[in-house]
Amino acid sequence: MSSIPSAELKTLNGHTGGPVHVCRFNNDGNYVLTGGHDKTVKLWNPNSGLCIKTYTGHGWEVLGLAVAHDNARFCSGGTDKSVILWDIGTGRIIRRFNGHFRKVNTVEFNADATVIASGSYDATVRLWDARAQSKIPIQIVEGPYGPKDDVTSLKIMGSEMLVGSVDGYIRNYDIRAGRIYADNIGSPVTSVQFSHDTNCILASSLDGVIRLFDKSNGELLADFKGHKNTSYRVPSCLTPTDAHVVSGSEDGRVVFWDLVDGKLVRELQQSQEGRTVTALDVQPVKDAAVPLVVSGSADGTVKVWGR
Amino acid sequence: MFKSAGGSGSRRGLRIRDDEEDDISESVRIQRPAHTKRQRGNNPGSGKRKDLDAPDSDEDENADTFVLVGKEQPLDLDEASRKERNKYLPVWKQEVLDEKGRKRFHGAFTGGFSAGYFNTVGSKEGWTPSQFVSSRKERAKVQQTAEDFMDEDDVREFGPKVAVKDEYNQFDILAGTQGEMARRKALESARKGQESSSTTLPLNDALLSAFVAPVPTSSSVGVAILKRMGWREGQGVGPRIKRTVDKATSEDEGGKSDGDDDEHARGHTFAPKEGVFARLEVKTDQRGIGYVPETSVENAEDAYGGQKRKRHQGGSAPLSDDANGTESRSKQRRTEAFGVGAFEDENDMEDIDVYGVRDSKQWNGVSRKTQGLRGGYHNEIGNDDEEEEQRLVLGGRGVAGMFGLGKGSRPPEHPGAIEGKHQLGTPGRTDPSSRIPGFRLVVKSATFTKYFPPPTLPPGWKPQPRVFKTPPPKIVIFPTGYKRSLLASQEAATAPAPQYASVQLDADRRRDILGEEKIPAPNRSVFSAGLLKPEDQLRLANALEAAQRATGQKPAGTSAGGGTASKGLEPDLSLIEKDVAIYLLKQPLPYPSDPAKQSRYKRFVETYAGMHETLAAPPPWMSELERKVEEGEFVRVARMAGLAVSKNAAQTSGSTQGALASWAPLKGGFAERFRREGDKDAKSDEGEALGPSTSRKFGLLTRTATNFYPSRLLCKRFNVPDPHPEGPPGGDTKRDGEKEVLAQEVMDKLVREREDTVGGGFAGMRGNDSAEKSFTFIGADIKKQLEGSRDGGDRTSFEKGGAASVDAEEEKPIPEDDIATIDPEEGKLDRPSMDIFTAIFGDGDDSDDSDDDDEQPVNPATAPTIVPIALQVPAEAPKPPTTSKAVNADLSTDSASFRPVFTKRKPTDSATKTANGVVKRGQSGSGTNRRARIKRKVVHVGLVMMIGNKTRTEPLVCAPILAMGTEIATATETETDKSQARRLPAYPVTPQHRLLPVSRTTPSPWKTCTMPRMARGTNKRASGGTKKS
Repeated sequence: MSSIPSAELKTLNGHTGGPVHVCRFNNDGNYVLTGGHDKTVKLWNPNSGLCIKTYTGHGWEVLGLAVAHDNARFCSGGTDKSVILWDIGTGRIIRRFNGHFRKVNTVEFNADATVIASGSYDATVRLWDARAQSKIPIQIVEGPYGPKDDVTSLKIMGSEMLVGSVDGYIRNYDIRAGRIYADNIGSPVTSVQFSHDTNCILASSLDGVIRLFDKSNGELLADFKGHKNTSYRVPSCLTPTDAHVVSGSEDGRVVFWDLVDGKLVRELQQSQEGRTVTALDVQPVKDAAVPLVVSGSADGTVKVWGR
Repeated sequence: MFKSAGGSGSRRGLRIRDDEEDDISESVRIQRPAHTKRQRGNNPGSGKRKDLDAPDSDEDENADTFVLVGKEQPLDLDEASRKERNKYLPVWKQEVLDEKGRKRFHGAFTGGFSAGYFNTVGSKEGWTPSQFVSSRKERAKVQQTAEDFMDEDDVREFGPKVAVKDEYNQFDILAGTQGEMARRKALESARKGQESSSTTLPLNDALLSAFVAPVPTSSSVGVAILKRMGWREGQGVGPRIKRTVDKATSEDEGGKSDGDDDEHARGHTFAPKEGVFARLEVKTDQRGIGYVPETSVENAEDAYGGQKRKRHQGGSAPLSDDANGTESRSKQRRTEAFGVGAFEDENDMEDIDVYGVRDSKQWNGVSRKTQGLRGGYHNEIGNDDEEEEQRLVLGGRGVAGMFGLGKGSRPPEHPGAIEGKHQLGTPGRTDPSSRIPGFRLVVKSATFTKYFPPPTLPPGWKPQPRVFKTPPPKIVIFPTGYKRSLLASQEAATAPAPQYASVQLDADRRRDILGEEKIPAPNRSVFSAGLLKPEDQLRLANALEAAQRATGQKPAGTSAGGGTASKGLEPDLSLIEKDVAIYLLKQPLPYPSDPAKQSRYKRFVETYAGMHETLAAPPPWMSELERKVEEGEFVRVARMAGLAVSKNAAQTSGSTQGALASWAPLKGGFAERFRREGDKDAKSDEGEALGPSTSRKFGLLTRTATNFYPSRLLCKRFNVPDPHPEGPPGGDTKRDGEKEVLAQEVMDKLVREREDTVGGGFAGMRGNDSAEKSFTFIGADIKKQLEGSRDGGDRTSFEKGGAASVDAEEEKPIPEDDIATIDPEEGKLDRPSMDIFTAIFGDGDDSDDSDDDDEQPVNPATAPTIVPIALQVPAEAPKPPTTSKAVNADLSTDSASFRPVFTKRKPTDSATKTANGVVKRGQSGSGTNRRARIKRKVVHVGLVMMIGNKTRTEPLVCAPILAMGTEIATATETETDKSQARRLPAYPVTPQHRLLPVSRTTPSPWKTCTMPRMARGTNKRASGGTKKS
């Protein structure tokens, strides 16, 4: 209870003209990357609220972000159908992967940032080689192996790739085992997340329920209600200690649940009513007393929550 | 002899001939410098030398004793001014100097450097040609003026502002741009003049602009088209005409007479002269010409002033009065240039005072143009010989004239055309009081657009527009199953007057609307009777029923429901009890949103309540299967109700009625169950809307697991072994990132082709080889082992096999199962004939190796020993193997693209044997046996194979081995004959080569080699150590 944010620390104003679609902490939790409708990615210091750098290069809104393990690069995907690998320090574009037929909703690195996975509205997941010069994907996960609809969320943990799709399935691609475990949620999945203990899957869906599944057998462990999620891609996260579940809401709140008993423990009003919280991330610092939570809203503001 | 003393002579460029040259010729063309004269004076006793010297001056007392030859020279050339010096110098020595005596011209080689220092250039480089710098991009920036080409003399003479534009104006015969500009300028000056002396020049802007069309600032499309058609600016539009002289009018101008030009131009045609464009607007008001009422107050005053305007319109005032003329003339002067243009006519040149003030002939053209501009309606039109053809007709129909068409181009038969100058040009013929000169009375008034009053309506007429009222289309998106029921409900609701919503019309419905009978064609459903056997139909219906029961979480009942439904229209009364049915009828019926279905349900229940004998006939659009499904659904609904009734009855042990009364709370759930599809969203907030996951039954039911086939590169990037080395099912073994060249099938094909061409392959050699049975076919062995390991078998066997295969030096008996020996009957493993080996690996001459003959005796049978050196695997970046699965992945890679590479054997000097006989290649080069082998031309074709290690789980990585193999090959090339190495790739690739024989009779020179491992990541094994197995 005490380990979740309770107050707004900073407001990161910088994205203009539309919602902030995604925000991600870097791996040590000291910086925040946000991508928004203004085609830019911005690097922030969440403690000071300073916008350190703006990365321009996307031709359309930025929908997905991922930071490499060494915090030196990040990749982004957007409505311009391209996946861009950036150098954080210089702001230069290292590589630009084009191949998706529709907008790229989400991107993710693998553990050592050699592969970029991108999930797109074209119902494919493309795996790009971040090391090779070739810009053709290593593999395209599609067809019988791939999602059947818009890929909304994608996470990679170890050799597992978790793909949430609008077709109502969470697909866990176990590359080591060569298996796909598809769990039917029944409602379009908006966000998927591995738990930090690697045993569970947190999934939000458009029926307004966040569910916690056992990764091994797909059984439901808990579900969390109390937020509003009917039509937008509302993100949900787990705190680094897996003690709480955080989620945005379409009514502008950031909602915290206790993971074990499933009770709603805190609500923070991020934006005014009717402004969906479209981006959310929790500071990945396990030993922090209160991990920061960054939430971006449809009104273009990013707020940092802490104690 | 004398030499030129000092630099003075040479500085002047004079050449003094010395006595080595011909004296006679010297005397003929000597030009004696002054200093030699002085020299001579200083040394008077130079005797003969003096004779040879030409006499320099008249003062020389000995002058008459000599024949004067050559040019007279001044006493001292230095004393002569630089200008005069040229007089005494031959032409080829003369310099061009400016007035200050500076050298004007510098050759590239003569003056270059010094020019920079001494004069004129001002730069160190002088006239040295600099590198060419393209000014292509700078072209637009360079603004050259006449001053750029003028030196100071020119500037002084002609002044800094020299305009040469008038020349262009002169020879621009088309009078295009310049004429246009001049015209504009004149117009402007005319306006200014009019402003300054409005009394004498009664033109105002409004009037002027009434006659002078605004000059378009940019060419329009029409102009572009005209230009395409050959028109040039300044020309009039129309066919080319012959220029004629009007003598009567040409005298008026006096200055320039066109007669001269026209005589020359007699045989030519000219473009018609440009006329003044006038805007043709129908004058519909009674105001004066050119009057724009809103223009200014002055205009208003003018409009009522009367006198000025009268004068103005009378046109008595000359247009170009003196003041205006002088002004424009002086302005004109400023832009004129001096001189005579190249295109100036010879005759004109006599008349023109080039440097004087330009006379009226010169600027008259401009002036006249100005007049032409102004004189839109003035009588000058008639008086001016040039503007004679530029008559303007206002308010009339002389369109041709208005557009500046010449006489020849004017259609003479135009009925309304004016008679030209007879009417316009001579004001005296008409009464000036009654008619403005230049105008004529309008014969036919301007046509106005007619206005027709609307027709009068008949008295009894009433507007009756037909109103097309289409009902708003009901676009309801339903699942397909619901669509027809909805249609049926609509049909039921609007049966007498069906609505023609075309979206929802299908063939059946159209048929119903048209009232046609149903064609007794087979039903469209695949489940209909025509396609399925009756027993199958029955089985299908039963299965369907069972499935529905399972999904509907119904208690397992008898499967008689389906059977009942299939019986037809006879109700199976055992399904629903009668009292339940009766009670159900009293309850609110389900399907409130689907009245048709509700009515069918009601009818269905009524049947069981005994009100009807038979079930209702299904609607015509309903297929048999649909009917069964619906009946099953009805039965379930009714049963559920019945179950509740009976349960309640058991609880209360009362009458059925009481039980039924207590069933009422179920209504909510009942209605909930039969919700319309459209209602789904409203209820979805509870999270129990859809699919199999409505309740918390996640797990086995919701999880499906299938195989995923990551590409090999993806596995590599994720540091995991390929989970499916065999590839996805379906026979497509090609995976992403796999090189096609090395693919198994490609190799097989190549090998097969090669086998066909080569023929025997190893067969010939095998015939010679007595030790053929001892050949170990490592390839086959590896393959076998690979398959074993891929199946999860122990890798040890492979290691053993590999080790044993390579172990040739030990001559240890090798277990039979580890060595695949040649089956003599198996014709596949044939050795190629000896010739091939000789052809490829054989050395042409033995002489270079002859000293090594005594090293080893050559056994002809074992001479062409083939020792495996390198097993080429696809070049993959080595990666730190993590688990034993990685081994499998790598091994599978090998087997998929197993290809041997034959290289000459690398001589090794040391070979150590390890415990279990695994022999590894050493990298060291110089071997004791090397020369002997070379001498014998035994080329060892080697195979470096992947060697497993029993004690550790990591496999040896292939790439270092490859690299080593390459190194070996390179070393071999350098050590032995290069030509052999070059011939290596030509070695025929046959299937046999994939199974490489190792002669066990030949002692293997291999020693234990160090295996450098490409240490990367967390590879703990240090490289360079001898491996133990």
